[in-house]
Amino acid sequence: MMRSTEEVKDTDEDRNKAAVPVSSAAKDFIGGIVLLAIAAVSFSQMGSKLADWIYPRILTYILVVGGAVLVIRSSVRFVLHRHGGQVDVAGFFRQRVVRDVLLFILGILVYVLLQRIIGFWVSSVLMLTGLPYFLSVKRTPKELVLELIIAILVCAVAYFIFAVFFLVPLPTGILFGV
Amino acid sequence: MLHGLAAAISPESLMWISVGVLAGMVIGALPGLTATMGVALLVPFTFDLPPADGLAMLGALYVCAMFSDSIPAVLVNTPGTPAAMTTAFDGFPMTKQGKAQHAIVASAFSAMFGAVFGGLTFIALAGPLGSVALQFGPPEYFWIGIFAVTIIGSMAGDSLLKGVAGAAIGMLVSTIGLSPTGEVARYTFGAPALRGGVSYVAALIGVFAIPQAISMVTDRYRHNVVAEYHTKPGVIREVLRELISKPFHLLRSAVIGTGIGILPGAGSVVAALVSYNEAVRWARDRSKFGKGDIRGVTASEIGNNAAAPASMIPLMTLGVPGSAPAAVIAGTLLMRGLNPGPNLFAGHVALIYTFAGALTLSGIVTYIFGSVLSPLIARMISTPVKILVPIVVFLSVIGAFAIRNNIVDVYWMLGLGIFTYLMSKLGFHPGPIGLGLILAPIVEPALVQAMDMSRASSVAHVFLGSPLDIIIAALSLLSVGWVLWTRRPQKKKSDGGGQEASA
Repeated sequence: MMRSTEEVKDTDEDRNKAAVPVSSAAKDFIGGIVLLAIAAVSFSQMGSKLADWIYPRILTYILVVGGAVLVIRSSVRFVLHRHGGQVDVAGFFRQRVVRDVLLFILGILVYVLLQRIIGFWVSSVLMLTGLPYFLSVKRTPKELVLELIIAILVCAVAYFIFAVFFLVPLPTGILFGV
Repeated sequence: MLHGLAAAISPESLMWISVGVLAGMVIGALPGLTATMGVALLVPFTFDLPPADGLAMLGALYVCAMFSDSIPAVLVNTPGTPAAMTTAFDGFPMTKQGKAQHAIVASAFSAMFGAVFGGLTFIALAGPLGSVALQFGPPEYFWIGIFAVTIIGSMAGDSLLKGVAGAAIGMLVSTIGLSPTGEVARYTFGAPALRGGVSYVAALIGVFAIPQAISMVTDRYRHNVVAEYHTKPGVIREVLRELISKPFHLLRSAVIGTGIGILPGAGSVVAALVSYNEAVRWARDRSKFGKGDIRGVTASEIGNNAAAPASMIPLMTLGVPGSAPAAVIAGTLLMRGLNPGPNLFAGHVALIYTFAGALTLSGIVTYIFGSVLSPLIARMISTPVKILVPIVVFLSVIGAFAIRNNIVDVYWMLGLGIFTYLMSKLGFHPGPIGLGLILAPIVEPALVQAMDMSRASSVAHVFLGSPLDIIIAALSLLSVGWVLWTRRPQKKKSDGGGQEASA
């Protein structure tokens, strides 16, 4: 209990600096809940035939035990040490880094979904041009043109290696079929 | 025998070995393109070649791919093939310390050491070792898998509990789809697209490449490049001097890689895992592992490179492929009317020793190419993050799709990648999740088959019925005990501080 003041101070400082301002106890609690949720989904799907389900059953029990230990341990820490209980959810999503991560994930999801419509190579040129532009510190038309040229070059080299030399099949689209 | 070995060093053979090495360099370095796929893609090119040259080229590709898969592992923390997973644990931290070239040279040297050791074992002991491999049945593979699982202790970060849970998640993901008996579709939620299961190679790309790409996105305000790299003279000599001073470490890794490589189905992945684990266990200052210790790179790379030629021993002596690439090579032999196994050993002994010699030489050629190209390869890390990240995503999509030509694998790759990134923020290290994905295809079928066998006797008789079982089980238990024992002081320290570090 003596260390709580110093710890809270450290935690607050870390919270201001860190990309994800969640304390150690809160991480354990959320992690434990995730494990229990996966175990719950696993149990809901589980069949009875021993040979087919013994292995998933053992793994699910491991997740239940692991999840329960994490939840109980972190709860005890919340109660005893009173640290890590406050999570600034609104502040979390206002951070530039978090916004970047969300936009980046959205970008690659759109890229993968676009492949089924406009084909692998066209969507790849768009992704290889758009993502560097998004990740650039300075966004100028000149940068965009340069990134487009690099994207075309990368795709040309990849096309030669994968499609021409190794004959690797790649996703095809409805519109362009390439 | 001598006639066969002499043929391996003929100019024609050396030329085809070099072609195989170059192809392996490309295949291994591209995440998702496995050595198996590379060997299969190169098979049509061997039809017009004499059998010895064709085999030499395929073997060289396999050996070199086991080296070049370490390049993306070292540079961007993304293993080129699953066998390089443990290489990334120390290779990438070395890159962050500006020692990318050191890691590449160490990996190339390890490729040579492993391939030469495995190849010489092939030449000297093929017959007796081949018959040992047949002693391994499902219970032994189960215990080997359990033994490999104990590597969690080396890769779990600060929380062993989260490491074990992460491995369980990885293993659970790999159970999606048809069960090993083929009778039940598990966790498919009625969706036919999920019946085929999750390609563990695609999943592994997601687990390692996508979180790394996201981390590069978040770090780009501080670091415009993944790591600084400046050309330094004398790196090759420096690395060689350091590695040669560790002969026991090198030999132990090579013996483990060769021993596991001989076992059909275990392959380079398990060899690298066990070799890495043993390197950590035997080290006096094991705290450096995972933080850029060159021994982590060499243990993993010697293990998987020694396993490559060793996996050909049961193929050539018994007709049982020791690995997936060995199975493709078996197919190539069959297409030419050559039956791998005792008959081949009796009728075409020169061909077998030419192949063994070529595998050994491939390691040396790989080292030459790897060392010469290492400054160029290391310089790639100076590519700006804004260019590198989209290329990592682009290659990850190609790799995930190329395994089975299935877009669902790409969705799995992305989904697992995002999931792993989020879990890493909660303190779950990606390593154990990847370990679970890799080991599940070995552990589960072995468990199910051993359970089936126990119907005729008892579970104890099947799992602990032979001296081999008891030895491997005892080693597994010792390994678990060792993990718990070495973790004890850290746990006390962590509890004392009231904080538990996260990934």
